[in-house]
Amino acid sequence: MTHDGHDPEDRFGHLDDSLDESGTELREAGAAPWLAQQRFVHGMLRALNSQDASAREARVRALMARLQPANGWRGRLAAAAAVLVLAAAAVWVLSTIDRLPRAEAMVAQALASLHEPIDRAFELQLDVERGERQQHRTMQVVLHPGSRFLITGDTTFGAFRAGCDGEEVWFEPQLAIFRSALPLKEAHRLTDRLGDVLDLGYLDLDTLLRRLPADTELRCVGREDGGIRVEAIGTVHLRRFDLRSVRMLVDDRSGLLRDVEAVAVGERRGARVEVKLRFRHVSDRSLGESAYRRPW
Amino acid sequence: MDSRDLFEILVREHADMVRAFLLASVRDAATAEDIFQETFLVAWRNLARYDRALPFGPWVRGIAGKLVLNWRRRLGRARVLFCDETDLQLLDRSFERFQALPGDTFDEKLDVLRACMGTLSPAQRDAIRLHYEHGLHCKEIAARLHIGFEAVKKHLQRGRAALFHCMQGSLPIPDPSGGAA
Repeated sequence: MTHDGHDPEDRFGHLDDSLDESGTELREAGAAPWLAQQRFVHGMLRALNSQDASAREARVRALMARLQPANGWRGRLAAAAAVLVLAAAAVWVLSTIDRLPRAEAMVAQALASLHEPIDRAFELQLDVERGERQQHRTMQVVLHPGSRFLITGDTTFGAFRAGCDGEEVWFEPQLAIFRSALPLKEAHRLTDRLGDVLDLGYLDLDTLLRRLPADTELRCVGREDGGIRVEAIGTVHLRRFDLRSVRMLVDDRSGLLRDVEAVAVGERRGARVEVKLRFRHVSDRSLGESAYRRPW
Repeated sequence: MDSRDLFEILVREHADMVRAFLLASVRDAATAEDIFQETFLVAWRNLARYDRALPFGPWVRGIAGKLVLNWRRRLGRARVLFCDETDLQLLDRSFERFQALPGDTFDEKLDVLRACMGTLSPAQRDAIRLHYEHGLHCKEIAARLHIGFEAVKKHLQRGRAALFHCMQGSLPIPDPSGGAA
């Protein structure tokens, strides 16, 4: 194959790996400036088409939350000593009174429960408000560790099934010609097409539980029906939504998440979207790994 | 105002530019997000080494560039585009000139790119919109437009070259080689 055209796209186009993975690493003289131009515009176009004010804010907040104090070792040592003293005092105080468990411990227990190799079935109720429009949806969700899930429900376009086997996300509406599948890392392309009611960001209980202790202030507010009611004060910033007012009921023996309520707020095509969601544990099942695979 | 508050101001000022720099170098947005976070964490930890007499943007993009090379070694071409130090320097030069454009925010500077979209041929504009706005891969665009895969790539590459030269013509962005294309 020769690349002897006159313009740089003919001469160097085969070296460009920004459009697929076919580019070669064997560089030709003079190619680097052209490739740099292509990359520059490629990055700018991607940035232009993925601008999202709430995602930007979430990005900055997530970063700021991760910053450790920029002190030297003396500062860190003093801080560590202070934490130890406080922890010792807290243990002593807690051991002297009968009180609710620590909220962080309940969340950790719920997370461990979610990682048990069990297929947990939840009913998911969504109340979506977008401008004047309101929708109510009920979906059945089965979660399994390793990013496996199954969802059945309906959207504006009719009933559907969706799932993920840990590597590939698939979507199967009633009309077979519209079914599709994508690698998990590109799942947002699928959810972007499906509108407001299906965003993996807020269906992902595992990520939510991991982020709650860092992003919010947790507290146990009481006992209910054999479980501990935990509230999170603050906001968890997800890819397209901010999750607020998270409340959950955690079984105090098994750590089972029996109920999760939250409000997700975001923006879609210039309109504010608010989603009230409620997960309710329905049953535990034993489906096997094949149940999560693409059915076609 | 403590150093953390000052750092947050710097992050807010440079976040979009650093993200665009990373989106130019890695394939998926999630990887760009990870390197973005790591870039500013490294910058924060090394803030004492930052020479305040120099602009912050090139310094933090330099960190991003080193991390891109590290991630490339770790993850390979499936996640990070081929690049070496020369490529990253050339890329950084374009971002440096872009930084000098009029406009207080990154978004205001992007107005030039938006305006340049109007100078593309219909075929180039369609290919670029389908790829970057609608997220379609070249094969999907080829099927949609009933043209060949290589033709789609050419439209995209020629469209990007035209956008670069349009921006260069209206603003002080030089060809990275220092000469004419």
